[in-house]
Amino acid sequence: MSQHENDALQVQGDRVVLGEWSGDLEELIAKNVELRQMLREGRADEARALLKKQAVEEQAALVAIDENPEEVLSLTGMDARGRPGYLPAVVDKLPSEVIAELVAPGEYKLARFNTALLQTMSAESFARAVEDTLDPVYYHGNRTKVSWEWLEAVAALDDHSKRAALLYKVDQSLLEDAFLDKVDSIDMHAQVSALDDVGTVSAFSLLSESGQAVMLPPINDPEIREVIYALHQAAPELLAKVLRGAWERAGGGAS
Amino acid sequence: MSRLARVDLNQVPLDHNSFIGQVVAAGLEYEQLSPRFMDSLRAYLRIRGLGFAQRNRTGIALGRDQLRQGMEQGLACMDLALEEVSGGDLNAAVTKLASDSFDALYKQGWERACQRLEEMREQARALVGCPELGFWPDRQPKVAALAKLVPETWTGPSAIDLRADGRMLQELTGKVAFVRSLPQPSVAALLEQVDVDFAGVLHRVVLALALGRTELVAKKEHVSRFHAECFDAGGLRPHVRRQVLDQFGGHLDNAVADADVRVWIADELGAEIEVLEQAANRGDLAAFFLSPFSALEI
Repeated sequence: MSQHENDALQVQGDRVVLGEWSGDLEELIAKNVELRQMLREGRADEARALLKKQAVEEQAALVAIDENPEEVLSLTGMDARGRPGYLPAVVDKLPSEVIAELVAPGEYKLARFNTALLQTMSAESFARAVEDTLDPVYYHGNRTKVSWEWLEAVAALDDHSKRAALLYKVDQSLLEDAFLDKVDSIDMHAQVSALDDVGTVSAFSLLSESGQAVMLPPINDPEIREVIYALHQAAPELLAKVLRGAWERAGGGAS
Repeated sequence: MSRLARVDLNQVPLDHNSFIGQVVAAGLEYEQLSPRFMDSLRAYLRIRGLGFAQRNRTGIALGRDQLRQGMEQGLACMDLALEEVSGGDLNAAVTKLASDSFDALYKQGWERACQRLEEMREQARALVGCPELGFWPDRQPKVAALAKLVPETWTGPSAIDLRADGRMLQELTGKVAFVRSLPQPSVAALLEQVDVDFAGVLHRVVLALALGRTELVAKKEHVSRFHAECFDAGGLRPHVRRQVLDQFGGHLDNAVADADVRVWIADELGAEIEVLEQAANRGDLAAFFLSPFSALEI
């Protein structure tokens, strides 16, 4: 069971429960129906006003139960000129499964990840979502795929400091999971030229503590390289530690 | 919960030919199940689907196929449990479905499903690599995948359908036994021909039995004799049909232990006899026996 089980949206009898908050299920559904009707009729201002009247937890519950959660979430941070936005307090109350769905919506080919949402959410919420999506996954190969996709999402962010903040909050072993099937693309045995031009050093030593994470070993796969470079720009020391850990866990150190 | 609605899993994937499908239909028709029964079942299966998809996700987003697969698994388990506890009695099963919790039925069925999956894995492992599978080339990838399934997690290289895949393995096991009971040099020669499938084997069995031959390999003169001596305007001559079916039935009883598979093979033979009769009417029998790709006339 996930350690964040209480953050899930649950129905208990005629009550709906989200974290510490609980409300009447029928009232919530009635508000959702009203909200949906307003949105269908293009009355976004009224929908926004209705939403803003609710506590942030109830706003999060309304996002979670709606047929288009992204549309409702966009109302929570909408400004006076009608520009949509996400309210961080609401984002942080969303169940992990809803966050996951909103981060990787799947249906938009041009924007694979919702980076605006990642930019808005707290590092704590991000870490919770990563842990909750990985926690039930049985098969280690699938865990690696899920963890890697989270890193791809972080790499898609433009803001380096946000990337670093999100990464530092996630358990390091979960980050290592993402690289377990990628380390073969990293040439740890290569000899690379050092920055001070005093000769060559082994690629693995670039990731050791003495390497100070200033450079990365050669990476053969261009897609993997792009993600790793983006993460390295944001959190070089953490990434060096994670790659080192993944390489050792994958048995690279034994060869 | 809203996601499940959006991926349009509003329909319970209930096969009306399955046991549980019949039980639900009877229960609703005779008002033994509450009018909201389908809503409750749908809600329960959605939860099952969600749990399965979360355990088997391969990306941040949950997979629609996995959600559906989880729902189908839940239903398959309940189906097995109902069939087992009722002994196939529809009324007893309706009573059980009305009185027991969905989860209790699911858990009971899960144990049975696990046993069945283990049996299926063993059947698949016994079939993988059999040369006779060459008569069913489209089934080979599925058999290979089922040989690697993990019963405890109900997972494998591809989605597993307990009933359909179980029946496929049962059928293949019986049919392979049947093929092995045929003259092996002929079977080996047929396996070398890429365009001969199981229906092609049955065509040759019909010809051999009709002409009283012990070889399945047929040459041009055999096909000519087959056409001239065994068919008239109404199809296969009655005495030939009787001779073929009697001998085939006797052989099948000895070759295939599974009574269900014997019936399926006999039905298939009947259908292929019709195909040959239509071909004979068109004067097109040779196309079923003489390969255009080979100098060998088999």
